[in-house]
Amino acid sequence: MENINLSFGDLKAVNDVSFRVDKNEILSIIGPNGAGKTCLLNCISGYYKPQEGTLSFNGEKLENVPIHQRTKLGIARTFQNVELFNGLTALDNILAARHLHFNTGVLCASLYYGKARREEVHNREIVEDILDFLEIKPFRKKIVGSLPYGIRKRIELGRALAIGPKLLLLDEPMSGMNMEEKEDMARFAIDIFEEKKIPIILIEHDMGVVMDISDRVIVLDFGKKIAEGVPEEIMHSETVINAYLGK
Amino acid sequence: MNDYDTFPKLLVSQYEKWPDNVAMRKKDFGIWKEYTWRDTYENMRYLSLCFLQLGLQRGDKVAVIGENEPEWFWAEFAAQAAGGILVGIYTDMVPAQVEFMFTHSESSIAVANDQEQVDKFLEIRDKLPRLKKIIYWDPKGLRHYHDPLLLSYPEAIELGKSYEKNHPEAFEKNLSMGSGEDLAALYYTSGTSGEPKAGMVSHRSLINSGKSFLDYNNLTNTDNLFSYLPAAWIGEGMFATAAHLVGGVNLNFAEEPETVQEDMREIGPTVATYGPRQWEDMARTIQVRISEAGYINRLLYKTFLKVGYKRVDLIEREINENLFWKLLIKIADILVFYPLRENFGLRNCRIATTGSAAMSVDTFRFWSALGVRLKQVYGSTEAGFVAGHRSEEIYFETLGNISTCAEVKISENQEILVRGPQVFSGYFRNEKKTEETLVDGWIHTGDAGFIDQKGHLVFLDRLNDMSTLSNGTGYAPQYIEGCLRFSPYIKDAMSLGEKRDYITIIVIIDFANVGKWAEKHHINYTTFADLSQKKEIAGLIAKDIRRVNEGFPQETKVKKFVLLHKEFDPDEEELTRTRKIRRGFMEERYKDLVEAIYREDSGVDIETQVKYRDGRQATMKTHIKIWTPEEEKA
Repeated sequence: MENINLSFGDLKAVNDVSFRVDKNEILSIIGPNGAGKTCLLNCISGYYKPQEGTLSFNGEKLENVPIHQRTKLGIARTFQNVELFNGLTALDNILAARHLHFNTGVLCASLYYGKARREEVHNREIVEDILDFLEIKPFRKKIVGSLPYGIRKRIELGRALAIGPKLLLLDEPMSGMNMEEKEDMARFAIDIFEEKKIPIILIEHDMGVVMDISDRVIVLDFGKKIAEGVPEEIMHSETVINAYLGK
Repeated sequence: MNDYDTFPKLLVSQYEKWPDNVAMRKKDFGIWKEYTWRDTYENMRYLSLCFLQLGLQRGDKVAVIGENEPEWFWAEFAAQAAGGILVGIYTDMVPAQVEFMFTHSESSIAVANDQEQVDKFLEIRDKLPRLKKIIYWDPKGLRHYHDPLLLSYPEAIELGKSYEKNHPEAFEKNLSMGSGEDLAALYYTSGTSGEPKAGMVSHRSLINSGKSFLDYNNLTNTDNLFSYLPAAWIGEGMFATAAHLVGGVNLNFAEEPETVQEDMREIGPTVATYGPRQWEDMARTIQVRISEAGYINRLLYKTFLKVGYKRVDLIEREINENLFWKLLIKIADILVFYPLRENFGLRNCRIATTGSAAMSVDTFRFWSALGVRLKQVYGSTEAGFVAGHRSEEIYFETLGNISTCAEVKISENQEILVRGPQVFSGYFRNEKKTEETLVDGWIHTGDAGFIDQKGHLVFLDRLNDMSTLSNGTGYAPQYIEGCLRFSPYIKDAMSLGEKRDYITIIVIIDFANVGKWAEKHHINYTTFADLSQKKEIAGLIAKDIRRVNEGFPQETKVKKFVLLHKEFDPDEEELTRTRKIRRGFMEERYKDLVEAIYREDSGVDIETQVKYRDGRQATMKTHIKIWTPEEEKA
């Protein structure tokens, strides 16, 4: 990601930010409210189109790739405020994310025969693995709207995983959670990273979590990158402390 | 190997009869996975050989800890096939308790479910010099564990297979060396009275209990049983495991402990074995859900429940229903009761049993009205299966006919004494207790009871718990508590009154239901403790106590009650693992409270020690108000 600029009218939301994330790391983006963290994530996922700068993913230029194509490339995300289909079950929500892996035509799928069936079974197996992985099996057939917030966040993470991502963008996965739920979420993030070997870009306000699980941290303030480094450095950096405490 | 006198031999006989029939079902990844008798047999065989490879000698103990899953039972059978003895440990035990059981039982091999249980052993490994191996069957979260002490389940099976190459006849040899007199398991009794004791239970005992249970209920290999009560408890060994091996009854396991109810609905077991608490809980759930249902549903339920109770009346008075009632009951079943039963997985239920603690007559009548005829099952670790109802002869107030193999007599002080092939072999490493319990071949159950004219056994209470007021009036505390628990708002209750002038009650409110009631009546509250001390809630509970009081004579009416600020908790040793109240301990723990109640105070400040699962301790200070049921008319 190089020299990204994003503005809304006169407001510069992201100002000349560059960074890269490697295959074997968890990168955290921190910063005060309104610093442009989510905007940055939206630029990567394709929801926003930056006015300037270049984006590349696995050596491929991304600027002109539409959102759904980026998903196909393997960029998956979760949202700050849970964005699930509230009327569907947890299972259906996650299965929906497997949509792009279905190749059967309408006719074949409606007859549910041969390839269509095999495909359905195969995808269901993948979803079941995810349900097991995130320990949400008891909620499989529950309507998402009726589930507690912490569980919905997990289902959303499950949906991101179902895409079969090569890069996972997590937008405040732990906001509004209690200590225990946070610990669970942090454990899942580490498990995803270690077991499934998926690099993660994490936006999070809980410094304890950020410092514990990330390999590298980027600090944003008013759309600008003001620091980058390993957690240890960031924690003692003068600029970061100033930005956060507002000296 | 002509007679099938041990569990593993019985398993082999089932395997030879129908190797490809389903023996067990477990929901996994959302699908019911079936295991045939062949699967069970092979798992037993190779795991058993693995135990031999690990140096298991005849008479050695194997500790198993985990949720009810096929592997749990395979480990049991495998240990027994190798001549070993099962020691079941409850899943929710903290490391210190695991240490006690593992050390006390002199176990050497542990079979554990998952990371949670493995961690417990790793935490206390230094205190377990005998521990040779920990075999785990759910590898999740254990990928970074490289401890030589650990062995995964597939590795264990491989180990067994390689052992067989060098010792081809080892499995058969050990199997045939087993006899009915060998110990099958050590069952740690819940310890309603102090320190847990390990009951030594032989194959003979379990098989005889199982046989009479099957016989009473005509259970066969077409029946389905849902196994979810703790497998470390003898009830599961006596009824589920023995029924499985002796009668070929299928065992079904839930996906997760949280999904028991849904999974049970899918299976629709023909046998439902719940404790009285669970039957009461379900009855309460029905009442609450109905109260929240729409107008038409409420009306239907109300109307047809009366029809249901009419059915109970007819059965009780042994009158054959006339055509009119027959038709009405049928309609009630179709419209209301069948859907209700379906909801709780009782769709195909033929045999519904309860046992292990007293249950109120109200609950019995309620379920009967719904068309579920609850049968009592009476037994214990020490005495085996003693009595139970046959399908044609169910009476609320009795425990049923005395089992075909047991012999029962009542001592002079009303104690139930039991003899027969189903009794246990004594307590492990506790000669003194054994001598107290097993006198001249008779098991002293410690239960007070009598045999009625029909030949049914009737249970009054624990001998020690039969209480007398200071004026000499006797009463049965458990009975009062059972009646109270029928209220949707009362989760638990403990009565006081021994050598006192009158009876009082410590009530635990049902937080979910009372909370809902409070919300509906615009009563603000923060925590359980806060809610429990509200005047309005006292009024609500007082109404229930007055209802129960109506059924009692003047001297044994409840005169006062308190609403405790917390639930009874097995972690704090207030309840046993099977959720029985430990009275002696409780009276000591809440001494200040009890004294205050009888001092005629209006309230009292108490301090209680709280123990968390991880071993931390804290002190809780609370003010508890004391109420009188007659005054709190809301």
